[in-house]
Formats: sequence, C-alpha cells, structure tokens
Amino acid sequence: MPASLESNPCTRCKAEDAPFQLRASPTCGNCFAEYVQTKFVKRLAYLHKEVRVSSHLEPRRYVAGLSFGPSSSAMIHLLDRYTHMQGRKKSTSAFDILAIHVDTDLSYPPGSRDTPAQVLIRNYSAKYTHFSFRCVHLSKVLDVQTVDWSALPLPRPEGGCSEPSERLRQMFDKLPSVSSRADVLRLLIRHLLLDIAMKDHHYKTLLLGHSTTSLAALSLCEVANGRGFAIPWQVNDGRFPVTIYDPASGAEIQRTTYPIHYPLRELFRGEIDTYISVFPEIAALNPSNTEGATAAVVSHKDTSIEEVMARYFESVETPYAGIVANVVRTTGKLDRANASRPSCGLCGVVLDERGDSRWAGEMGDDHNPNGEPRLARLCYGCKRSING
Amino acid sequence: MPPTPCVRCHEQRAVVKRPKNHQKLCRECFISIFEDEVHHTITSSKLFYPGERVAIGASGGKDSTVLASVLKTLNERHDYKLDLVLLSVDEGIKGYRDDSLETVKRNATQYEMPLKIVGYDELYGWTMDQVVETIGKKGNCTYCGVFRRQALDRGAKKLDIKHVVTGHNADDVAETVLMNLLRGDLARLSRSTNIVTGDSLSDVKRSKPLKYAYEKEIVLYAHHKKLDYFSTECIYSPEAFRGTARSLIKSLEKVRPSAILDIVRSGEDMGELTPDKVQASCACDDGGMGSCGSGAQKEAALKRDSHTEKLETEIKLNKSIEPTDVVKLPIRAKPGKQTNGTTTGALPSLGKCIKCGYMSSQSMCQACTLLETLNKNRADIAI
Ligand SMILES: [Zn+2]
Ligand SMILES: [Zn+2]
Ligand SMILES: [Zn+2]
Repeated sequence: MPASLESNPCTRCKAEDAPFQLRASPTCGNCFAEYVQTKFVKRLAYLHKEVRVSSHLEPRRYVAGLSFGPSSSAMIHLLDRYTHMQGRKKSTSAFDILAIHVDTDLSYPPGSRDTPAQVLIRNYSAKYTHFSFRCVHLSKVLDVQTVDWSALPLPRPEGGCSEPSERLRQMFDKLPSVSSRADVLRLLIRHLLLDIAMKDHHYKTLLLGHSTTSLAALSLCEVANGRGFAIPWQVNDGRFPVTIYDPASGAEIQRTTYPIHYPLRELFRGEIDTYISVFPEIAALNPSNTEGATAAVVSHKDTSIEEVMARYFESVETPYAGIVANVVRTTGKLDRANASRPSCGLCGVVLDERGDSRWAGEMGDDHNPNGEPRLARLCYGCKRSING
Repeated sequence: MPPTPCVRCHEQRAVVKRPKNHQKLCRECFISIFEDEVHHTITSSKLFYPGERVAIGASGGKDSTVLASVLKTLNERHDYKLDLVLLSVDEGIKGYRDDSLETVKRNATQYEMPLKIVGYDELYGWTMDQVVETIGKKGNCTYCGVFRRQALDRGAKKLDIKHVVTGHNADDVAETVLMNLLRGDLARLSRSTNIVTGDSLSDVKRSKPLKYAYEKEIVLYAHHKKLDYFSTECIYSPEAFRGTARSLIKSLEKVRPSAILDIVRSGEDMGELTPDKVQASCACDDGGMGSCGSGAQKEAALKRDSHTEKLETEIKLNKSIEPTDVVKLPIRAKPGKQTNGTTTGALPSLGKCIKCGYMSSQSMCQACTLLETLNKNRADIAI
C-alpha cells in the first residue's frame, strides 16, 4: 500500500508513522509485520503438531518451494524471522529448511551455471545463511517416478532424442494450448518438489507459499480444468496421495502419501504485497522481479486459464474479500475421494470409477477414434490438458 | 479459398464452427449432432418414461423455444411417447411479457402443443408490477426468482403434470457452480449440477435436458432451424455478483472452449464429494439455478467484512433459522455413497409449508414468507 498523506496514527500501537492499511485501518510497519507473522506462525504450529513424530526436541525439517514470486519469497523471509525469534527461546526446536527453486527455462543446456535462476538462488543463499538453497532444473522431473510417463506424449529416449530438456520441450510443444502447458508445467513442478522432499528422508513436509487468493484461484482453475475430484487434495493442508510407477512399463509399484502445507493460506495476496513493502530487503533479492523463467515453455502471447483465474481473484480481492476466503473454505470441506481406487498418472487423484466415456456430458471420445488405451490412465481434466 | 467441407459428412460445406469444440460442420450435421447430444443426455440420465406427461417451461426465449423444438423432434424420432405441454408464467409486468407470450402462443401452434399460461395474480394475488409498486425496485429480483420458481410447479400441479422441464443450459449450470463456490454454499453446490431437482418427496419433478448444451449452440440451433423466439432478459437486474461469475465464464470459454463443459463436469464430481450432512434437499430450491433469490443478503455480507471467521458466522445465521413445526422426514442417502448411521443432529429437515403445502425446509416456504411481507405492506398502505 502506498503511504497516505494524512498522518493518522497506527490503530494498534498508536505510533505516529502508520503508512500501511490493515483491514482499512492505518497501521505501522511493525504492527503489520506482526499481524502477518501471527497468521503464519499459527499455521506453522498446526503443521508442527501434525507431523511431529516424537516428543524429543528435534529440528523441524521442511522443504520449501521457492518460485521467486512474492508469496514464496515472503514465506522464506517469514521462516527466517521465525527462526531468529525461536533462537532466543531454547525450549523449542530449530528449523532446518531446504528451499528449492525449479528452473523451468529449458533453453539452457543441463549443467549450465550462472543462469538467471542460479544467480538468484545465490542471492537468497547469501542472505539466509541458516537455510539451504538448491536450484533444480525442470528436466530432472523425467527421473521422477510419481508420474506415469507412459500416459504422456513424451518422446521415448531411443527415438533419437535422449536429451532430457529436449524431450520435455517436445512434449510441451505437443500440448494443445497455453492453458494445457501452464497446467502440465504446474503439475510437473509439484511432482519434482515432492520427489526431492520424499527422497531425502531428512525432511518431513513440503511447504508451498500459496496465499488465500492463490489457493482460491487454484481451486477455480481446477474447476475450469475439469478436475473437480482433485480440489480437496489441492487446497487442504495434509497428506497428498502419491503413486510410484515403474518407469519402463508404467505399472503401479507403490502408493503412499506425503504432507503438503500452505503456511500463508490465511493471508491475502494484497497483505503479502504490503508485507514485502515493509521489508524492502525481500524485493532487493530479486531486482528484476523474475518469477521463474516460465516463458520458455509457456508462451505469454495467449492467456491461460490459470492467468484468467489469477486476474479474476486479484480483481475481486478488494471489493469482495469474503468470496476469496469462501472458495478456499468451501472446497476445503469437500470429502477426499476414496484413495484405494486407481489414480491419474499425472495429477495423482483417483479416477472416476464409472469411466469418462459413459459420462452423460460427452457422447464418447471423438478425439481418438482409434481408442488409444493409454488414455484411460488419466483423469478427465488431465485428458483435457493432454488432448485438448 | 475453397469452401471448408463438413468434418462429419465430408460432403456439404461447413457453415458452423461449433462453439463447444470448434468442429466445422454443415447445417444438417450441426442440427443432427445437437439433437443427438440432447437425446444422449435424456437417455443416459433416464429422464422420461413412456406415456409421461411433461410440461415445458416456456418463456418464449431462445432456451425454452429450442427445448420445445428439440423435444418435439426427439419425441417423434425416438418414439419417447411423451405428452408434451407448454407452460408459461405471466409475471404481470406490463409491456415485458406481452411480446414473449405472443411468441409462446405462436410456438404452441407451430409445435402443435397445448399451452397453459398461469399468472402471478391468480397464483399469488400479486402481479410483479404491483410488487414493485409496493416495495420499490430494490430487492424485487428476489421476489421474481422465488415466485417464478414456484409458479411453474404450481402451474404444473393445476394441469396435474408431475414433470416440468426447463431450458437451463450448460452456461447456466457452470455459472451456478461458480456462484455457489464464490458464495461458499456447499449444500447448493452439491445440487447445482443435478439434471433432476426435486426428489421423490416433491410433487413436481424438475429437469434440464439442455444441461450440457452450450448457450452459443442453442442460439445457432435456433438460427439454423429458423425458430421463432423472443429475446427476453429479466428487466430487474440480478445481483451484481452473478454478473462477475458470468463474465468469468465468458473469458474462460474464450481461452478454452471446452471450459464450460469442464466446469459442469467438475461440479458433478464435487457434488459426489459433498459430505452427506449438507445434502438434504429442498424441493423449492434447485441448487441456486438461475435464481436471483437469497444471494442479495449474502452479497451484502461478503462486501461488509472480509474477516474470515466472522463471515462464516454471518452466512450461517442466514441459513440456520430452525424450523419449528415441520414434519421431520428421513434424509435420503446419496446412491453409491455409504451412510454410517451418523446422519443425525442438526439436519435441515423437509416439510410442507404451513400456508400452501409446498415443499419447504422452513415452516413457511419462501414464496409465502415473501407474500406475508407484501400483504402486510398492502395492509399498511390501506390504513
Ligand atoms: Zn503499530
Ligand atoms: Zn489427472
Ligand atoms: Zn455435414
């Protein structure tokens, strides 16, 4: 929020200098930061209670997704501040955070150093010395076994194309629309983050920096993607279902779950922006304000469903803040579908037991008259993303 | 440039680009595919039984005109053996209904169907014009919505017909799914995509055979079949909030044409994920479908305060007015879902309105409650 010219004192602490707005009341930077911190700490406490395995004092070990966008950057800052606060009290355990940025720019050859993302991650690393940072290239997702790759239009390595970035790029090129590419990219990033968190048994939970606003947009984005079944899994804190596939045959090997939490879920996007203006050092880490390098895979010439939703919620957040919270609360109340049913090879959510071609809304699949059997491994929404 | 051939018959020239999937079709193929899809909807959801008397809620607008035309065609082609009747509501808004009622009358002749027009005055003792005169323009969309919803059922009852079909299309259903999510109305969300509303408990069954038909395709169908319809919009503007959902759907459709159908699909799936306890249904309510009612207060609540916890209480207060003297009826479990016997507690219960006997979760149905207020106003004015 820009500074106001009138000099109303902070409604919370009566400080003279109160340039920020909290629920339409003038607020000083300290009080605003405290408000955000409180909302954040409340969710962390909830998470701590959920995943704690023993009563021993051991560090809380979490993997945090870092897109370099405002929310995840604020999340790292909040974690850091909280660590310092905790450091003064000896009674609670410290934090062990591994922040991961997934570099989606496929134009760099693997092993390149000094890509924009790697430069940024070094900035973060230098500032937050207590935390570990890692920049992982998106092409690493091809090693991930939580995706049924046989269900996706990925060129096979023996088909003359063995370079992972190139294979991925060819797959993205085959997707029918910008919306599809944005959707598949989002799912792959999540798979990669989950995979890293799960493989390193050191870490107990994956933290994602979604605000109330972005969770609302994500919910409705999934509604528009035809992925109604996935929504309660996507918006709630808790254990997310994961299926491990055999990379060669695509056969299911194992099913498990892994906790994903959104500690910023009770903050609006606007509140996070204000928090960032209270602490200029957050924005200073990312001077050019690059939110990852998604341009390489998702062209911004056309609008995607994801962007339409994000814009919608940013536009209604101020006049109708209530609906933003409503969406998250409502979709969060939905039951999670029975996880023993076969699951979708891309988004991981259970498939419709009745099958999609018998759905009354569709006369049958006229996209694939030859009836490619691999399609049955994807849910309605993922089929839409892959086939159009 | 040579003309594009139809992708279906490969013979005729394509004149239609299907809004739903951008398929290029000739006129005949478009018409037949549109009809086949409605037929598929009807048969896959077992909507009718042979010999059934069905009232088509007819407004003279494009949706209900297309519905009447398609049903007549399918009834003959597939031998549904339905006894179809046109049922129109005259709200009593001067100058607004005159033309559309004329259209319905012409439709009755064109489709050789009997027509019944029921007036608000004969049903409620009030025309919409009189309502507006009494309470002003503010909030009258609530009246219009509630009255209209019941008017079709009441009209059908007069004709002794137990099934009313309405022209709600996929855009309407998708809009309602989004509206219910934005309002945080889980109970309505679970019902909003049902093709049939009202259940075995209610006297009149409601269904929407055009549930999967795109609004744009309905317009195209009407155009290519040269149907006689009248453009009607409720002259009393609905809540502004519904407008934002409508425009959101239009922008999504632009980005990905299948989005409307995909939202309907998601809505159906979410309906299956709705916890049993909120699924109790009420015959006077079709999941917020096209109703302008009850949203107005909520919209005000949403604007008033962004505070999450507070908001939840406010909305609850609006909903949980405990019925006092209703007959408690068992809540039907959703088919295919397990009930674990714990479905007791503060469930909304179904009963009949003490005044008119219409199905209601309150002791008095919405229409009668509104009428009470109106009649009180009228008495006040008389004094
Ligand atoms: Zn202060
Ligand atoms: Zn899926
Ligand atoms: Zn043709």
